[in-house]
Amino acid sequence: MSIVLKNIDLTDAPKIAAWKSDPLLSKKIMSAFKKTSIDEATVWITKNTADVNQKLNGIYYTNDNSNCLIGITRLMFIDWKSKVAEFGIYIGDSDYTGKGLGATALDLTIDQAFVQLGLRKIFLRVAESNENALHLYLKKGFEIEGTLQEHIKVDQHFENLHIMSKFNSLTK
Amino acid sequence: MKFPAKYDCVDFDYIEMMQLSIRPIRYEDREPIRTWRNDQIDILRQENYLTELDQDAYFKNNIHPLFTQSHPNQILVGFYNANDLIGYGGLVHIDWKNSHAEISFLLATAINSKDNYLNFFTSYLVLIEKLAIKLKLNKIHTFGYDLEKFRFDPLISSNFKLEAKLKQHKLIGTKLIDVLIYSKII
Repeated sequence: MSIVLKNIDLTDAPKIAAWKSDPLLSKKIMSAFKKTSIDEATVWITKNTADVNQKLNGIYYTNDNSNCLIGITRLMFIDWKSKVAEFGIYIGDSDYTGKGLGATALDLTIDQAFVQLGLRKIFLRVAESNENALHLYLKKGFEIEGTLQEHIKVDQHFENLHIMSKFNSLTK
Repeated sequence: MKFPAKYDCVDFDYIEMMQLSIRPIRYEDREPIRTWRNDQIDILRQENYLTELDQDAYFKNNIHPLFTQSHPNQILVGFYNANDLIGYGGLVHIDWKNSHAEISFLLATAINSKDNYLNFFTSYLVLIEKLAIKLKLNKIHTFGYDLEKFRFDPLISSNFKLEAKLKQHKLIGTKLIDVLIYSKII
């Protein structure tokens, strides 16, 4: 088995629609919840795949018998002049969480950002309470550049948000 | 075209302190704002010079609809000394779910000396905080390039805290500049 990143196939729009319509997943990834139809998901995939200031990847889990979309990674708001982008990730299929697949997808996206796209820096936002993700990002060489106080609202209380960054050692 | 005198989402037509005030942006403000933005492009997140057509289309298509939205993503204001428009700004990137917004501010180029900037931005922060309170926001913040230290002095004196320093985050000319995020819980 392996993890590969590739463009999201439009036949996977039902999965994207289901993930976007999942309030618990929206909460976990700090995204605004919106019930999403398959047509809307198709438009979303098409629009974001075509965006020149973004790299949208499907995380595909492949083995001898299957090749299925389990999540996405994104390099967003790419500032080509400054060579900086924001990173985002989620594993949408709960059958595949907790297996280290997100870490592999992160490695692949870092490689895409620094080697393929030649970016200089990537940054991300992570809730201070999300200790597993925080630990992973620290392990992968991200550093905390700041902590935004009371920046996200979860279940009627405010939580802090870290901004973490990693520089491309080839260009720094 | 004429914009409404008030935004539907918040009940204010002006907020004042002494002779200074903020008022909802007007359609007729588009040309001085365009000139200021082009003059000061280096300190703005703006890649290209704005043409009259660009600005007119932006005001008609992007700003005018904000007046009737229940949760607009920005509320733009003119900044006045008595009845003279001396700058503009507002609350932008409003995140209603998480109850925070970014402060935007630009002073007219002709009066944009260091002393004027320090005086006017300090007063503007008082006015814009009052607007944020009317909107029941929890937090306001700024996103600024670390080009000239004095530009952050009004924030510090107004009890904003430095929450993040994004190192070498923006290429301006040939120099990599840090981005500073100052915030205030209100």
